[in-house]
Amino acid sequence: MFRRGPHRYAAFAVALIITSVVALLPPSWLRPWTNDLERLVTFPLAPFGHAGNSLAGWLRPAPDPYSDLSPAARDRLNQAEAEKERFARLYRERERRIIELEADIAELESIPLRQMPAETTPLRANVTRRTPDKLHGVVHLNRGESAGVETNTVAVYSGTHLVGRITEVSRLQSALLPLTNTSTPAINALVYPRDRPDISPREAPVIQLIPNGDGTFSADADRVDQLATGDFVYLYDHTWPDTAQHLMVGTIDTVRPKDDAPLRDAVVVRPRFMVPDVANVTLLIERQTNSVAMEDGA
Amino acid sequence: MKWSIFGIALLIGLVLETSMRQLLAFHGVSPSFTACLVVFVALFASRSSTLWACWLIGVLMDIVSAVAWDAHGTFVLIGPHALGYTLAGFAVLQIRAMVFRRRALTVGVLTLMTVLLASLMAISIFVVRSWYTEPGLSAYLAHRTAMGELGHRMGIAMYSGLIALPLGWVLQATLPVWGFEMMGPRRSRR
Repeated sequence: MFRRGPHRYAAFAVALIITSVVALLPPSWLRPWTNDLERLVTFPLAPFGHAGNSLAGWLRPAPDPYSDLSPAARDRLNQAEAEKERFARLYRERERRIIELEADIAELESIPLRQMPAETTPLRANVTRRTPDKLHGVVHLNRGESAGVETNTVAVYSGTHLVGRITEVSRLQSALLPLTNTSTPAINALVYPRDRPDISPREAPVIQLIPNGDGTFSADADRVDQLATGDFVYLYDHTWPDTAQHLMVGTIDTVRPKDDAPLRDAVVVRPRFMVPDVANVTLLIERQTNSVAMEDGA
Repeated sequence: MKWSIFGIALLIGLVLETSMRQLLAFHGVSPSFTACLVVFVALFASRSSTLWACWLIGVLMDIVSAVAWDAHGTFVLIGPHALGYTLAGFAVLQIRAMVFRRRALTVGVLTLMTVLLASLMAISIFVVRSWYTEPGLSAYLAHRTAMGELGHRMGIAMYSGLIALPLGWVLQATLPVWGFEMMGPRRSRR
């Protein structure tokens, strides 16, 4: 590779030509071998990356809105908030189920009940590698198939804050696509007013969130919905797994009238936690209970 | 150039890129550490060593920069950094005889230039690819448009140039261990 002589640049020219050709190949030609190459090359990097990310997380901890309170009060508030979110989510999940059942009730006698995940197991995962040029690019986690991670497994932070989902899994590692990445398709979400967060999902307005690439989402909303800064935004999108439904996406940051559509507002939603801010996430692993589902179906 | 020393520096650079870089993010812009290594090697190593080293740094940067493609998962695109850094390394080779190599400011300015050149090359490849194959251009970019991405990367270039001032000074302090073949110092005279 590094030999000297009259042809010392010939090998480099060949390498350059091959690189140029590879750079223009379609993804379907690249995926079979470049992803394997990535796993091979990055495997020895993982321990160093894990240490580096842990150090980065220690140097810049995730944002804490209660940092001015005493540690005991902060813990109590965090616990209370997590409890509130958990019960609110259970309530909304039940409501969603009721809506589904009401819509399908005429057909239920002939169609078996849709199989729902009976159990979700949380799994802590550390970030081992981030995409250098993109703040909101793909990150790699130190959990893979051997730990039960699958494609589409949902990642949360601080219990109920959705941060992304798994797009690629190898035996020992997985790739997490942050929610704020521009490659994340548009997300349907429900908005709950800040002063009335207990309204039914039927009453909550639906908006479609599009990642802006800077960590925020933009959406259009009907002005009659009267969305306001601080309103809570929860995922409600059936292209996402059931474990992701009603997880918090963020809060409304700004609402301003659209000049070209007088009856609509332009809304910007900002997540409280984002993948670039955290050194670890919690994966929600679905455990399917086939026996229960079969009994239900029978 | 001692390739073992280069390997250690590259490992440190890659770990910094994939872990500590986000720590220094300011308004979504974060500095590139490997660009500084490209400049340092291109300033002091022999011509063929420089070209191979820049290509290798670029290939490894491509490998750790997976592209997310909607529901299709991720894929690794080898080329944008590899060709960009090679181009930047070649440009530094052309002008290194005219600069004060041992000045940290030189490393800073050349790092800015390196990131800009590498970005232009990368964005050109992304644009060309988006003409004939999926995914769309936005999958490759941190911002949704090529111009927005170029502005974003200009920010990265300036930030990298600033970070390269102290980093360049640290790298220059390690000069004796690198075993560069051409150590003819070109210092500014006071």
